[in-house]
Amino acid sequence: MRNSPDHLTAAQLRGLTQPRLTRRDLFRGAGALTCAGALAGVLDACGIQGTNNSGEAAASINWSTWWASKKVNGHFSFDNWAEYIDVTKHGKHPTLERFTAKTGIKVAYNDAAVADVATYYGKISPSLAAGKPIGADLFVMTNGWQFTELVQHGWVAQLDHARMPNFLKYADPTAVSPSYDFDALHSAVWQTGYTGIAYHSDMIEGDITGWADLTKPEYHGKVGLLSDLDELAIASMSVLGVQPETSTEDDWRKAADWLTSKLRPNVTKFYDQGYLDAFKAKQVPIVMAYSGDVLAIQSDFPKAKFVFPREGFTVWHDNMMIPITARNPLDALTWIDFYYQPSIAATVEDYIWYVSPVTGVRQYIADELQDTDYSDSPLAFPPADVLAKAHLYPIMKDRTEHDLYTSIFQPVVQGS
Amino acid sequence: MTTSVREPWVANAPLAPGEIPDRRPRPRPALPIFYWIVVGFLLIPIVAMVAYSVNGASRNAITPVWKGFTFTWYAHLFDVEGIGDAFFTSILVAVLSGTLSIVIGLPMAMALARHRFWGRGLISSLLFADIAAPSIVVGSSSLAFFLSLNLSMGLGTILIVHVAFNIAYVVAALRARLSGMGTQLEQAAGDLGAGPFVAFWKVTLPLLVPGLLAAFLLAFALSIDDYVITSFINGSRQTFPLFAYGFTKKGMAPQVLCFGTIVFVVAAIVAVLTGLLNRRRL
Amino acid sequence: MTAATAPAPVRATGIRRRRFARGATPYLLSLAGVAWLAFFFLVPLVSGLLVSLMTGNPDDGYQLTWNWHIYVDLFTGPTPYGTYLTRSFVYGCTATLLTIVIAYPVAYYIAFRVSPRWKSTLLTFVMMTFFVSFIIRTDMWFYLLGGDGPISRLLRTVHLTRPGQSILATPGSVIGGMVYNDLAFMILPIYVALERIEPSLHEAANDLYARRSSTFFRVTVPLSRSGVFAGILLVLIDTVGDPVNSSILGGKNTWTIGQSIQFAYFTNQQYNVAAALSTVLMVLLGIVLFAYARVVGTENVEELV
Repeated sequence: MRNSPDHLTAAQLRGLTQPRLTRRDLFRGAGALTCAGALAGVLDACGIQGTNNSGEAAASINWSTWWASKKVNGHFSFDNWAEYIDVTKHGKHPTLERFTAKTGIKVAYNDAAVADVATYYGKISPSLAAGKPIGADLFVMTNGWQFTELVQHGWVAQLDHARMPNFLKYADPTAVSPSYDFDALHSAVWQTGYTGIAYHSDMIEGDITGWADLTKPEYHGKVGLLSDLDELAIASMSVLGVQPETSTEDDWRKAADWLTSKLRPNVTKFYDQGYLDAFKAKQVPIVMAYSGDVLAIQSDFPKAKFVFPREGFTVWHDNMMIPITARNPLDALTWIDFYYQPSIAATVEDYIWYVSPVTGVRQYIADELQDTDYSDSPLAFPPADVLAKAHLYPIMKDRTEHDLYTSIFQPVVQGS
Repeated sequence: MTTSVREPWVANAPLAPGEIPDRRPRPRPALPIFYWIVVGFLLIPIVAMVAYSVNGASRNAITPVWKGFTFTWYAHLFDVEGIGDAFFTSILVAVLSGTLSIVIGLPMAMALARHRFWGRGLISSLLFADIAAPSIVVGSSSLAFFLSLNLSMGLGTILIVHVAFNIAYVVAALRARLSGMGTQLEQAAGDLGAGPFVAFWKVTLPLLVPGLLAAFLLAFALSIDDYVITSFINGSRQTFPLFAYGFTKKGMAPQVLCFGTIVFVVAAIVAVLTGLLNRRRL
Repeated sequence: MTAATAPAPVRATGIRRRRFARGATPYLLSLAGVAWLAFFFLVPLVSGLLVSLMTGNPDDGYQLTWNWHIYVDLFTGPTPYGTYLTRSFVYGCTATLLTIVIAYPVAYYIAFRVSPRWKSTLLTFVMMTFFVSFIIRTDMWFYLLGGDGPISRLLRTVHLTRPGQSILATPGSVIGGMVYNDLAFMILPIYVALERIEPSLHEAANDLYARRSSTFFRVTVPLSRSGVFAGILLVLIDTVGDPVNSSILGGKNTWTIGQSIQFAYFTNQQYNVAAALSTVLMVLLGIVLFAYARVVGTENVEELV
């Protein structure tokens, strides 16, 4: 029609046709959020419980009664690191099968459930703090901050040595009462190992003997490091000549600086357990590596070398622990004791090439399994002068110190 | 003045069949070539997976180098500890969460597509938020929530969360179908004396079957492939993606790839069969 | 005329009851869904966001202190969360754009250039690959692109890469992984939207003297807007918050916000930081999507669901 405003401006057209955010929309949205928020607030008003007091509860348990009340259920679940038990070509585990044959207890073995100490601890601690089962009845935890936390919070069961005759008979003196777990009350050593440098000698020029060598310009983009902050800290402190056991905040800052300015430019990636896959796929020629991982693959990769860095390196102990909320603790305990026999431990060791906590394993492998590659290997059993440079992870006083330590080394891994 | 007469243009005669010029549409190969390149690119890892599943290796880990053809991994498919359980759990969760999300989502889709009511926008926003929330946010908040409720992580929690995120996708898929379908047929059924329930059961539902199937497949696929959310709330219960992720740390076991190949082959067979059925119908 | 003895009161109540029942139908129908989502999605989400306002640590516990300052602390503290956030958005947007560029021609081809007999088959060829677990597919790329893998060796042989140069552990490989894994999320919605376009519209445009490119940009693209938006929604959300691609295929300088959230939650047990980062991520994504919806002019964003 002639009189109608047939020449609307663009703005008017937009105003007439476009939906807009009205007050009603805002009210609706706000209303929904408030309702949900109120409900959530009720749940959250108490906040999240702290764990400071849980240790006291555990300290008051009578452990012999506790164990007496447990029954053998015929199965248990075992969380472990990758490549940390004997495995056949098709994926079966002979020692676990022998265990099942002898005791009738089935093992649900979760290979590679643990890829990184801190991440695994972070995964299980919310459930433990809530007093709930974590799913595994046995897991392997490295000595260090997380280990101490587990013990102090009373989240792991104390082991009943009366039920572990093999342990008492065959455990290595270092495993009977380790420095981090007096009298081995809370754990039983699974393996001992070292972290050093591994490299494909056919992919790089020259030999590597220490951490400082990794900063050479010709290795740009060829180095892979572990993302484990303890490992990085000890490597860098060793280069700077600092004793990790007595290091201070100042030392940590200097070490982190060295890592960021000298070593990080050559690094292509920071790995957790996945470094091994990258190394085997020849994705990265030089890696910070666990000793047994590399020694065990040398038959497939004859040109792969493992060295103990001349400046210093870490020695660590991985320990079997039973969570206090486990559903099948007695079955797990039976396995621990079964493992501490030379024949069983030797079968595992011959495959994974770490250092066994069971006496007589080295001899057993040399005599019965006739694998002198392992028993005579200077890399599996380094001489005393090399071992003198081995360090344990630094011990943190409390969470504040631990948080400071991680905040100093974290940016090295995550970048900026 | 003579005006020239413009003769109307008229063809002298219709073209004889032999004179019709042979005009085929100009071949435009760019798009089909692009399509096949993309399909090829998509298939590269699949081909690698199948190849590695029949590649011999001395250890229980694949190697990039070809070492000879072997079926031994298929023969020892279940030797890898936990692989059967993980696969079964994944299928179970996918089927259950797909079914449950349809049972819950279909009425919701009907309400949204067919009725105008106060709160419709709100519910749509809720569903939008459900799709839009990043997996990592959903996973971490669900874990904290379940712990505050004192629940144990396991199959139940996995199922709960999978249904929660599947509902939005199912409703989206069904709602589109329903609004496309229109209400004429139900109205006709009503005219013929059918009550609302009967109309739904005998008219709407049969028509909706392909839509339900598509929604179920969507929910099934999303559930079976979920990693991030499930990694927070699974407790000790392994699903296949979680199980496979552990192997990315230490070297993929060939049997995992065998399972992947089997799934792929089954999906391919189903796809071919439905393709044949569709063509028969067309 | 006789007064109609109307049984009016009875009938009126009957009508009112029926109207009430009809009015209540949508609410009853959506009850189960709304309840499930409200309790198992909304409440955890909001309570998760509330955790960001708590202070404390795992030993002493966390208390709700309404610490809004954490959002400032996050970006002024030693950890460069701002960098990670920006990087994640860059990766996500790049991956989304690349996905559109690859997916659109594929969807267009199947929708318009293929006879109906073959449409579902060709579509299935594309979708079939996504039936295999994405962990397996990503790991396969890891082997193929790794130092000893066939693709690396091929590239070295034809001198496209220097010996020793790695394709993995770069932003490119992370983005490539994201594009690869989310292609299906983009192809399907675009295909569905293109399918709904009447082919006669193309003919009409042709009759009006439009060139093929004009037809495409002025007719097809605007009509497929909702499909593209749905695809962008799915892909952007998935890629910006993704920790898996950057973890498997990434390197030392590809740390993303998804990895930060995972790290803060599991490794550092800083639940408040993890929750705060999650909130920031969701808010930013929401803003980006709303802005896009307004600019492009799609109707009521909720209607897309």
